[in-house]
Amino acid sequence: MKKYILQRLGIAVVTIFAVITLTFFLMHMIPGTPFTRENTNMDADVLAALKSNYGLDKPLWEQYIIYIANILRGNFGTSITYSNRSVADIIKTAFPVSADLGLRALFIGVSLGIALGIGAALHHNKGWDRFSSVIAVIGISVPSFIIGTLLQAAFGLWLSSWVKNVFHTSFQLFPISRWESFRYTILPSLALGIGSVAIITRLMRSSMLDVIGQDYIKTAKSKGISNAAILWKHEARNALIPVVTVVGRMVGSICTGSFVIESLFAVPGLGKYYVNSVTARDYTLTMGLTIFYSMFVVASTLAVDILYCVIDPRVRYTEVGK
Amino acid sequence: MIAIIEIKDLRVSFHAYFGEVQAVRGVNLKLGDGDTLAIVGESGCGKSVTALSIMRIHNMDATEFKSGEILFDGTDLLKISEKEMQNIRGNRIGMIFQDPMTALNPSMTVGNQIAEVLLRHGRSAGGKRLSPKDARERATELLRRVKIPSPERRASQFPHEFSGGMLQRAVIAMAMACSPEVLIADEPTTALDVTVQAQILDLLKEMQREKRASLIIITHDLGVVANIAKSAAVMYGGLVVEAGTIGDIFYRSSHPYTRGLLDSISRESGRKNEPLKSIEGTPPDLVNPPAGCPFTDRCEYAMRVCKDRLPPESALSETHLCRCWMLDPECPLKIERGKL
Amino acid sequence: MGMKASANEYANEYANEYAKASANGGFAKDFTRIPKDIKSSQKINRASLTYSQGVIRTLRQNSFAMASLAFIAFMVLVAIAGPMLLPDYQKQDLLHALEAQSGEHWFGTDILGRDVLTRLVRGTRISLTIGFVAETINLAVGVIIGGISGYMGGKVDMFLMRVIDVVVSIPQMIIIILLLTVLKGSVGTLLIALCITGWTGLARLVRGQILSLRENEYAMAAQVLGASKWRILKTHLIPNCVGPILVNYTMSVPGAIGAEAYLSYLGLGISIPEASWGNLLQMGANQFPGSLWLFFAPAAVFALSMLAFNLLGDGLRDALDPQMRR
Repeated sequence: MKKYILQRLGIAVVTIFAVITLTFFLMHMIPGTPFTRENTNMDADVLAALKSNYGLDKPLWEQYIIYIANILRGNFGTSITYSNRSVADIIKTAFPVSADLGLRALFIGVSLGIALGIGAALHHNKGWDRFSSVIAVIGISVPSFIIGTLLQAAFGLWLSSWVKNVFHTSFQLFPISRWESFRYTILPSLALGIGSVAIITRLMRSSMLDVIGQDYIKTAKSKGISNAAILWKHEARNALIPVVTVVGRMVGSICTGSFVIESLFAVPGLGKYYVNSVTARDYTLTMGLTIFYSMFVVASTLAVDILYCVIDPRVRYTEVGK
Repeated sequence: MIAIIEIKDLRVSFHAYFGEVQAVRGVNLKLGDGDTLAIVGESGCGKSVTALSIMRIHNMDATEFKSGEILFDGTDLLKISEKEMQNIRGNRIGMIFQDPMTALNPSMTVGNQIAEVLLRHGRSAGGKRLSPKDARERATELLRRVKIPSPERRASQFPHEFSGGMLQRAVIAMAMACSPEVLIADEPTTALDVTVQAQILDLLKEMQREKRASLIIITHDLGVVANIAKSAAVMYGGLVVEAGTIGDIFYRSSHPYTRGLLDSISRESGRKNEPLKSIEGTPPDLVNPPAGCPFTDRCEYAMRVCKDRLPPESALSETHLCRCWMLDPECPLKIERGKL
Repeated sequence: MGMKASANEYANEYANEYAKASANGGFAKDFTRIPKDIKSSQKINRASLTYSQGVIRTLRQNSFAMASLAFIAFMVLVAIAGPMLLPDYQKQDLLHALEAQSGEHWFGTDILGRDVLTRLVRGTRISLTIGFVAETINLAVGVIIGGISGYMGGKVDMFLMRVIDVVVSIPQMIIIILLLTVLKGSVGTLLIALCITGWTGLARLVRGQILSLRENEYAMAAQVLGASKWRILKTHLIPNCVGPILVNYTMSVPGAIGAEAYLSYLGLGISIPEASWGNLLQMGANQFPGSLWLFFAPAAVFALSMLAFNLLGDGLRDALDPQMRR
């Protein structure tokens, strides 16, 4: 197991290093400097001063080493568009919002997905199975931003105009923008979570069907154990093992999926900053956030890999066996 | 001797996408109290389905019990509720499966899996339910009983850390944990190394004697039958074609299929240079099974009547039954009984 | 003995049955000998199908998959022929901006008075091109790299697998966005971005198939029997790979199409005046809910296409798995 974890750790480190290198050189492939983009006739002295301020006058390899050294110290540089705000500072304020949104969406995805998947497997080829299959296929086919837009229309427009007509107030049960109290979190979390509900439902269903057909379920039945105990102790537990890995990989897609949801619902999370930085060509912010996102996703995948070999004794064994 | 299990005219079908598989087509069997009955036959002849029917643990969505009774100690197991059946499974009837490597939950320790059945049915001396700690201790004790070395350590290991033979010992311990009256062993040695097979059979015999259980053993290995069983039923095409004591089957066999099976095993005392015989062909497909005797197409003695009609069960002695038209009083062709 | 009671019982039963039969005039028992019939004993009483026949039959019975296939075929036809039949998708008519559906403009017009249907048809061509071309490149790269890795084994395999481990670990969307900041948002850029990381899944799949084939006893048996490498490849490897690859491809195309829509929706992908499902959706969402058709027309076409690809992929996967047949 130790060897396995070390191997995963090695891959994680190489991955992050690759991302940093790729990001750095891609960004320096862009012709000109970040300051020349506006076509303004900038004074040469000012440009030189700006360049030296951002360390852009040094040779590329030196910049690269400085950049890596800075990142290792947690210094991602200073944003160009948000003047005087360091990238680390932006991460510090915006990441908790994104993490909150992501965790809520993940919670919706995992809880609903597992429930629907188990239900579908237990009623294989019957009504409940078809119902959850339909939900799953729609959830996979309709991307979060369409669902988000529809939710906004349903709650922000149709429901609120109905409330206005009937109760003569302009109260919004689930507001469609900003991130303030619990009510504000419902719609973005739902829009972000529905895709993962679909994926987990399908996976849980096929995993459960696989487990239900196994010999050890027959053995458990032959022991006279109640159906509920067989479901939880034998079927669901084993069926969850492959689901855990996927949930782990999902952390990455939920993070990146939240770019569009954060823009749509005006949630002040990392994704919104990220998209803005790309459109505003705020290179330091884009670089910093790219590297931070990658580190986060790689770290969470690593955590899940380790968790996986804790919950599945077979992995533990085979890796030790090697 | 009283029968502990009596199966009468059992018919079981599966519904698959290609049609109805009539896996069991009217089976009558009797297991005497304390007896050991072997059900013998090629794969796909309905032996496992018959045994699993006693436990009612097939995929119930696709399985249909078309007729018959399975009397266990006077109760028809096909009529009682699932709840009542659960009280019998693992408690009064235990089961051992073919492949120990797949028969245990891979993510649960072996000790816990044995403890699970004890927690469900087991009672302490005072008649109380067992505490988890007591159940664990008893599970370890059972592992010791089935001669697994260092049972304390083994109890907390997972199935994949065991060898096949060791695992089958653990499965036997689990099936015997609540001292069931009947034990059903479905090909308990087939998946094991030849060197381990005899040990497992000896253990089964020992445990059966100790717990005074009756045993149904399903096998295609006549060597196993001779080793362990007192009586045997030969199944073919979803039917029992011949049943009797071990003596009836081995020395006075009357069905051409039984003969074929006996001819196809090698014997130490066999004449040298004589090639092993085999039964040509395969058992019939049980989707739309033949109207007559299912063995007709492979039978050396086939007659027209065999193709048209199923032969009735004829009693050859008080213990010996056989389904073959050659036993019909009007049949001119007589099989020479017991001549091998 | 245990059988005592039962034997007597059955003997009686038999006698009764026999007596009954005799009373009813009996049945003629014809004891004429007939020969063994080994062939007929081996007859299988169920429709026997070859593997591919079974796959096609199961797929045909799946009405969702067949409808999806028809829908995809229709969309491909629209993408090829549509733009030729319709007027210029960039033609503006500011006097008729944001008009609702009419006989002239079936799906209405957008903010610059461009016909939505025409743009949607153009967008179908662009989006489907991105989906099919990107995944075809991924397929080729994946099969080649997976093939090399599985076939060469040893150090080459080790190296390629570690590379894949790293590429897979990088969040795909982030790399794509990063590329789009550097390169201009166009079809070519999107194709490059989607192909940088997209081939890994297939490479692993092909390598896995080759490795399992190497260990498989039937392939070993074929080798022992003197089958040539090419023959083993043809009869064992290719049939085993084609199914999973086909399923993977069918499921990946909507992934690429979805990625384009996602990026264009964020304003990072295909930019106006070119049309794609993604930027049509973006424009629709900007005018939402004032001009419903502007959002719902591309949303419906997009979602239905995604649905069709996924349902077809599901159907294929079920059809290729004999255990799933019912």
